[in-house]
Amino acid sequence: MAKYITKRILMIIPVMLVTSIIVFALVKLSPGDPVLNMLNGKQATQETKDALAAEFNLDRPTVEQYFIWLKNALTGDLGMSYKSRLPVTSMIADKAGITTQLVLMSMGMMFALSIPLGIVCAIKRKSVIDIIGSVLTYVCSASPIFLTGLVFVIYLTYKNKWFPSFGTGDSVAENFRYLFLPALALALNEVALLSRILRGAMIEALDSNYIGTAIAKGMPKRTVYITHALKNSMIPVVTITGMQIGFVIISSVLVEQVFGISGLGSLIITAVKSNDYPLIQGTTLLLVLIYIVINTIIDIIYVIVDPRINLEKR
Amino acid sequence: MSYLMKMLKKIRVFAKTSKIGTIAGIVLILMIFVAVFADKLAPYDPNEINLLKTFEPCSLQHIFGTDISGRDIFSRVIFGTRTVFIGAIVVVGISTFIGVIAGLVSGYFGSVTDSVISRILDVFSAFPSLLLAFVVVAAFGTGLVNTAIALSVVYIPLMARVVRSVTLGQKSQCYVEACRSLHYSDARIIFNHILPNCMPIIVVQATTNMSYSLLDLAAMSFLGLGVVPPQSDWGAMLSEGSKYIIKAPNVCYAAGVAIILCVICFNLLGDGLQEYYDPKLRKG
Amino acid sequence: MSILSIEHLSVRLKSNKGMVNAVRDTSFSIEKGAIFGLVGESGCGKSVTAKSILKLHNPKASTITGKIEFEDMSVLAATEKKMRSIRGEKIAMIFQDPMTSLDPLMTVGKQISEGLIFHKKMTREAAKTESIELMSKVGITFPEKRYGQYPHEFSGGMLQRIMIATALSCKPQLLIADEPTTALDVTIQAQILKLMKKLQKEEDMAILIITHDLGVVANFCEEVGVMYAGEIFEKANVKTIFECPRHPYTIGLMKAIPRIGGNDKRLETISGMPPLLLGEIVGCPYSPRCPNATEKCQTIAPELRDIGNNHLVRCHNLSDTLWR
Repeated sequence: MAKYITKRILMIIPVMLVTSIIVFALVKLSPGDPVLNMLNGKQATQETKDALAAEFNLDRPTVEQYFIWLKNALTGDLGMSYKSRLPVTSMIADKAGITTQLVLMSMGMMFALSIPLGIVCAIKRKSVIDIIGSVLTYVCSASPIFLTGLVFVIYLTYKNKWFPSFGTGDSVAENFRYLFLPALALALNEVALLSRILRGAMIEALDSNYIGTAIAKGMPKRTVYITHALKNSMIPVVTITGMQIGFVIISSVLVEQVFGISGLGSLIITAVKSNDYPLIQGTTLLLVLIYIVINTIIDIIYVIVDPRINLEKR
Repeated sequence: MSYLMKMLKKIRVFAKTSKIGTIAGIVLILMIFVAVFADKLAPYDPNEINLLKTFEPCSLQHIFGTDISGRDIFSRVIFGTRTVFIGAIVVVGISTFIGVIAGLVSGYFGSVTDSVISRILDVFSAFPSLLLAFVVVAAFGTGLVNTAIALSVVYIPLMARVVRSVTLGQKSQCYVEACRSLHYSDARIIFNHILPNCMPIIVVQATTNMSYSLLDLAAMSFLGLGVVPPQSDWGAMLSEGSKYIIKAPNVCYAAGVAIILCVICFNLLGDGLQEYYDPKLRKG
Repeated sequence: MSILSIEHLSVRLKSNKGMVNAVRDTSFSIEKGAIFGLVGESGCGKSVTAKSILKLHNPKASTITGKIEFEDMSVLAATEKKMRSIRGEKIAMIFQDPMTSLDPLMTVGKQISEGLIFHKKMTREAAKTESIELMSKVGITFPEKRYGQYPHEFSGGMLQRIMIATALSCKPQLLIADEPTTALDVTIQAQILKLMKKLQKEEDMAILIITHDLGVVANFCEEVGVMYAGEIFEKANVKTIFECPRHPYTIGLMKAIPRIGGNDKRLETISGMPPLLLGEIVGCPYSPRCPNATEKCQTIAPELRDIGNNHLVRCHNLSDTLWR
């Protein structure tokens, strides 16, 4: 078990290395001169251009640039943004808080909504509740996040003024109000998938022989549904959740656009649109790292939770 | 000719198994039809600007009204089907083709080949879908083509993994050993025997990927990184329309409903196909 | 003194093709501490009968009429709450496939203790001690260690022992065993049956065993009921059933048992198929296959009658041929 965990954690390193090479290479392959990009059409002397190039290590051979960048990244220095001349790391740190709160809030909502929904739909299979639930979640999952977000903006912020329509507050507590709708929009997309997976898994579990045994033992409904059926259904849910976390993080980009939140998402978009390569490289690397780490954690949890998995067979 | 008859029979069985799936399939075929014949079906040129007729409400002349530049929304929605289907088909086509081959090869040959391919797949799936698209667009510019290629890369692991797991299961079946003892070449075993067994999962996963790619492409256009104006694209229309959504929500409604409808149809079709292939799922 | 009495039980179940008359008219009773075997082909309604005793059928998909009385209490009239207090505590049931009948994510020990904690309100420690004792009683070695292991770490035979331990934990009056040995090897089968017989004597517990295996019946049961197409055709004590069966179906079954050292004749079979239970059946359900069938058999359904010595038979033309 410990061997497996160590192996999985160690695997992160080569994947991150290759990812960093890909990101770096893609940026380097782009047409256009980064120095001219930085100047953005302004006139400058050759001296200034050379100075700029030196400042950003652009006069060194590409491979050397990569290693300099990598070395710095490992110590936390992700370079300087072309446009704002601020260190990328501090720009990220600035915005990370908001995005983290958004993602955590939406994950909380996701579970709070999908678990009861999945359980109820499984128990009352094919009833009116099940059908309505299925239809609603279907439509929600088919609707792109930015659309759900827009709908919320019209009806819940503008027409009804229940929530502030854009921006963020000044403190974590205040942000709960500002981030409620964006988090909900993010969550609704996932609720469909999660509750359907849970429903399917619970239906399969409820049809199993061991549930029949539990009922024949006279166990109360609470024990049968939760202690036995739900526990056996959580494994696929946990796996899918892990897979979806990356999606949630990326979708927060879209939600931030709709709700005018300046978090990591809008940072990336601005970076992409203004060809601010260090910023793009830094944020991408960070997001990929977060994604891989979360997936590794989910994999490890999966193995710990299910005693049937025989690790030798892997 | 007999192949056609077989296909027709399969479609008949499918129609019986899942009525909803069949309806969804028909709607999608209609949409493809609209995409192909868009220029014949749209009442107006989608890019025709008419600044005298901005923000018109729904009327007989303009079914969905007009947008900020006086363009007919209905025509723009119709032409939007083109970018949707071309984009989605390219993304799913490329990723399915490469993914199936990668899955078959790594599942069948195992050991070193499997490890290498799986590690490569791990790297591809280290990127949440849109992130790689962001980087590619940043490097090479906006546009449908760049976005589609970036998304294809990220979708490859989705297909490769499922095909690989089916292949692994098939590999240990007796018939594979029987084929080997008859000196069948590996290629023949893979393509004539294992691949047909993978078709159900390939079809279902491809359909699912179509709806994912639709949403991703719309998202990229919404962010201004995919299709650029003045091309008609539902995502771009949503982005544009969001700026004046309070005043004239027609654009957003039209594009939004179109997207939702399309995605629901793909999802329902995918569900129907799953029921068709797995009799256990039929009739709950 | 009978603890379970079933009279004219009929169970109709909903299926894709309509209502199935799974049990059409079953009546029998079980004495305290007796071992009763319910025997018949697949689909004759034995398991459905057993499940009705504990009211395990989905009330929305089944119609049950008749009388089931357990210790002077009507099962069919009981509330779900009352049934929950009976299940596991007064009547326990073990099922056919032990490998899938236990929760794979819970230790076997906890699954045995579950009933003790809920029905007998024991503390977890007390339940654990009791469970370990039960495990050693059913023949599981190193029970303290195995208490914390999961079902997939046991073989089929051991799991069935665990099921028995669970069933016996609250000392029920009646144990219903639905094909308990069908999924096990023959040698393990013998061990399990021996264990069940031993425990039955110790606890003075009645057992209703469902099986299609006449060998199990011969070795294990005291009274036997032969079921066909949802009805009891013949009921007698085990010696009578094997030595002088009177119903043509029972005789057919006995004739079909291969014997060692018998003549080198062809194996006997009963030709034909059991009837579909979808619609109403006119007359005796066995008449299409019965060698003694007359016109009366095809139109009038025979009643179950006592032909002496507590031997009940449902037939118009009792077979007088002694088949041995």
